[in-house]
Amino acid sequence: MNEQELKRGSTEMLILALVEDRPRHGYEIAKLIESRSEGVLQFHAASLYPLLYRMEKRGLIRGRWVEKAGQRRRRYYKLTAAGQKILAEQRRTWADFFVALNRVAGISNA
Amino acid sequence: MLNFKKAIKERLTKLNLPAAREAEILEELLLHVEDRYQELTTSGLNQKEAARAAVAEVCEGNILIRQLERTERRGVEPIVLGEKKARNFLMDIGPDVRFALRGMRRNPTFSLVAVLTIAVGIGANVLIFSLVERILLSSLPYPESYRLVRLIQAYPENGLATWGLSHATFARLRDGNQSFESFAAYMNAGAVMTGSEKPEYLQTARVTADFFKVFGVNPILGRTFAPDEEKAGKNVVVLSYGLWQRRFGSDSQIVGRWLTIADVPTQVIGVMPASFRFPSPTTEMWLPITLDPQAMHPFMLTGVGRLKLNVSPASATADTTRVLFNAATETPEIISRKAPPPAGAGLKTIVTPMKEYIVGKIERPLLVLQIAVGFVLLIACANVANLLLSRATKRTQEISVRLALGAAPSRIIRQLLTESLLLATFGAALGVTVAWCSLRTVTRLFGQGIPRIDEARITGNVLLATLAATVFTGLLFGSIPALRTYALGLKSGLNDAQRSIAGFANRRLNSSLVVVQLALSLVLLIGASLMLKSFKRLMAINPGFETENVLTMIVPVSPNKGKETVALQFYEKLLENLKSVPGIRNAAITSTVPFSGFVNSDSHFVEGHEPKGEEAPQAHMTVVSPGYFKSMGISLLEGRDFQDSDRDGAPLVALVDETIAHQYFPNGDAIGKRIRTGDPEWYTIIGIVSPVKDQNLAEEFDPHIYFSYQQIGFAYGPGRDQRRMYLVVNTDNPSGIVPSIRERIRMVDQNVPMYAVNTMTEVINKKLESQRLINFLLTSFSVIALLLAAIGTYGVMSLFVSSRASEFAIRGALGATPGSLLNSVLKQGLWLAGLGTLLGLAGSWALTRAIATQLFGVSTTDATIFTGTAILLIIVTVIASYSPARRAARTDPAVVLRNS
Repeated sequence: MNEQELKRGSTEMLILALVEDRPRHGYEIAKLIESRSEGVLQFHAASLYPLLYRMEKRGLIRGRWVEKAGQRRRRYYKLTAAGQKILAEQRRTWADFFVALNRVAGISNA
Repeated sequence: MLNFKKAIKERLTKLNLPAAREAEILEELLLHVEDRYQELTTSGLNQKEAARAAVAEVCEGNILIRQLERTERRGVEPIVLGEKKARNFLMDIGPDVRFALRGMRRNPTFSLVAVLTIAVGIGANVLIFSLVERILLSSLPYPESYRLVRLIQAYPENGLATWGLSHATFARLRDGNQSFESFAAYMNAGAVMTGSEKPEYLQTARVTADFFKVFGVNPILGRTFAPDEEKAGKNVVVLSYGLWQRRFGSDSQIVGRWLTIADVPTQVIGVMPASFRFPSPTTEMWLPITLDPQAMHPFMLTGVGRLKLNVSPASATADTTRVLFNAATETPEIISRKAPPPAGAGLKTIVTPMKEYIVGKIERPLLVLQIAVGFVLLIACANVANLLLSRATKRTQEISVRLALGAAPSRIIRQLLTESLLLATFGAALGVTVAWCSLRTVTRLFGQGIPRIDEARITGNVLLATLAATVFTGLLFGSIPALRTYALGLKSGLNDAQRSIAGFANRRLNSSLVVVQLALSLVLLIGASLMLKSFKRLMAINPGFETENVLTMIVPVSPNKGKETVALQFYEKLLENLKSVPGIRNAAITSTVPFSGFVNSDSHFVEGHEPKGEEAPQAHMTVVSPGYFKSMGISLLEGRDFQDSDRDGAPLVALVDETIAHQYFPNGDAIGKRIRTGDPEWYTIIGIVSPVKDQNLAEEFDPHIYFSYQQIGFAYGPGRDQRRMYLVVNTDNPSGIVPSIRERIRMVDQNVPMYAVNTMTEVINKKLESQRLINFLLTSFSVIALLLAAIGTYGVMSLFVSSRASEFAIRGALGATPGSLLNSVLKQGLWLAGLGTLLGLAGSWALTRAIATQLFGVSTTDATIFTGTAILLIIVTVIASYSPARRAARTDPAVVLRNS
């Protein structure tokens, strides 16, 4: 497995996880990744939006323009049923992966 | 301050998106940039810097455009996050190969087995294709060689299927035809070269002046024959490259030198290139024929012609047949008759393309072999495919993790195919090496019987074909497992029940591949068995003479050594001399030995049984010394053998074989009756001997008449240069006796060499060389195929057993006996064997007719062979399933259930 596959796969999962509990717009997603990872993971908009569009095409998330009073309209992304399934699967795979990594290399301090 | 909208729009325009979509993306990106700008200014950056940074995050470099391009245009292409450099198909090959190599190193046993299997499959194909390419596909080494033909004549009504040409026939054909650009004739001969070194018997060809012109080949030194050299019978010679190198050390001054050939001083006028090897690769020199256009017989010449452009062999046949018919009508003696041939007679010429003449007989056997090795390759592929499939189950986890982590499906499949192509490549490299070594062995072992085999090399064309075969092989055995592995990977995270369904589908695929393997190997086994049985039948035929203990050799005497009687005295002295050599039971001389390729036929007439019409029944004429029949182990059935007193001046006598005796004297009263050849003298029959085969074991006995050498001399010898006889010696120690014989020959005349020393077994074997090669290769391939199929069966049965371990454990726990578990696995194996056998029998039934013409005394659907090989296949399958079945029977429920 190469670094690229790792990055792409994990980013997808991050996005899915972030829109799991409620719809979010692009900027919000970028900010959340940064803040929740305490700055370790950063995301360039140049990559973020194309990825969102791609995930939308694959049916994992759905984007909708939402207008709120006194604000400009924004595009909010929401998790679809298919996205939900993939997210569950990826969580499991990653969990297995971390357990395996930990067994072998003792990475987590848990 | 920067105009955000303008900056983003400038970039998006490049994508040529639909206006609405562009506006939508622009709006979303603009929001992002503005939000970011806000954030940056709030955090204390000045407006200018904040604006530049916000725009840069979206617009810097090409990332946005390139990724949007993929998403918006191609839709399904994967998006790569944060990549820094372009990747493409070619750039991925390196990592793919490195990854595959790592995988191979991790599973050395698996890789080794796969590579060896492919090496066997590809190696066999390279070996056979290198023969096919050289012998069948490449043209003869002469300019526009497709225009070269061979010409002989046929007149079935005259007793012989085919005839050579006489000088007169040749001259008429050459002058009267409209088909040939040039036309010549040759005959094989031999001559003794004496002089400074030891006497040596050389194979020569007597040729007419245009011989070399027909082939369009120029000498590398000097010149070839001038037209007047065939008329005047000048003593000139053209040397072969081989002789020039071997005997004259490639002397560039050789032209003009005088050699003593057949006791005649003969001047070297030229040397041919190494590639010129006609009529035979063993021809060492060419001498001109002294052409006598009035000579109506013997019929010892063979015509060779270069067709004019756009003239086909068929129209050349029509043209030359017309010339021959006209000549025979004008001068019936030209075809050994007194009256012109009636209209509608079968008199004709036979014009055969030279390549067909040279390689025609080997064509079908070679194609059969090519198909056989094709089968071996398919079996090998099925084996490797099975190996990969069994690994597919083990790799499910790996593939599913990679998919989950974002690997594109196409990348994963490509990775898997790279692995199989890499296996194929290693296998092919090893296979080519093996083929290269075995090609040398094959040409060394079987070099003599098969035309052009010594030219076979692993050429660029062969390597190109190998490359194609390698890619084909890699994709063939790699694609199903790759798709399967990928499909299993997709289904990761499934529960055990679903997993076992996937496993079941996999097993079905495994089983189908094994069935195909078993069927293909059965076809090969049946084909090889048919050939072997046919060959055994052929070898079991009694040729009518002893083979093991009979040593033969040519002992040629120079023609100009005085008169014929002097030469005959030499042989008489030699035979007398050999009597005292210990170990020699009997020795005799003869004008020819069976299967030497030299047969002299002539018409014969039995007194009181002369044919009414024009027919002239033919028989093989052999001139022998007393003791010949004893030396050869031919039985004297009635009467007496020749004696030393049957010589010039004594009453003329002959022996006939049983075939003639039965035909003319069914009452058994042949002795004392008289027989003659085309000449007027009558010979009294003094004995009857058992019949012999002398050309083809598979054919009926030809009639034979034997004459005493002291009465008829060299009349039935091979021609002017060849005052020669075969010496046949009956001894228990054929190889050990050779030096003593050489010594005795030298004692009688030190200028007489000996040549072509062989036992009769070797003489016959040379004749059967090509058949031996085909049998050897076909048998080897079918054994390899059977082994591969057995390995395949073993592998798949093991897989079954290990994947069903818990089932066996439960059954064992519920009280199933080890015997019943063993049986249930063996039954599975038998199922595969049964299906494979049925399929294989059906395939064989359809395919073996392709070798019908190669078989002797065996039907293409020989019941014994079909049944026997089917049983063999089933036994092998059961053996291959036995050890996995034992493992199943020994399953310890406690251990398996605890681990699962």
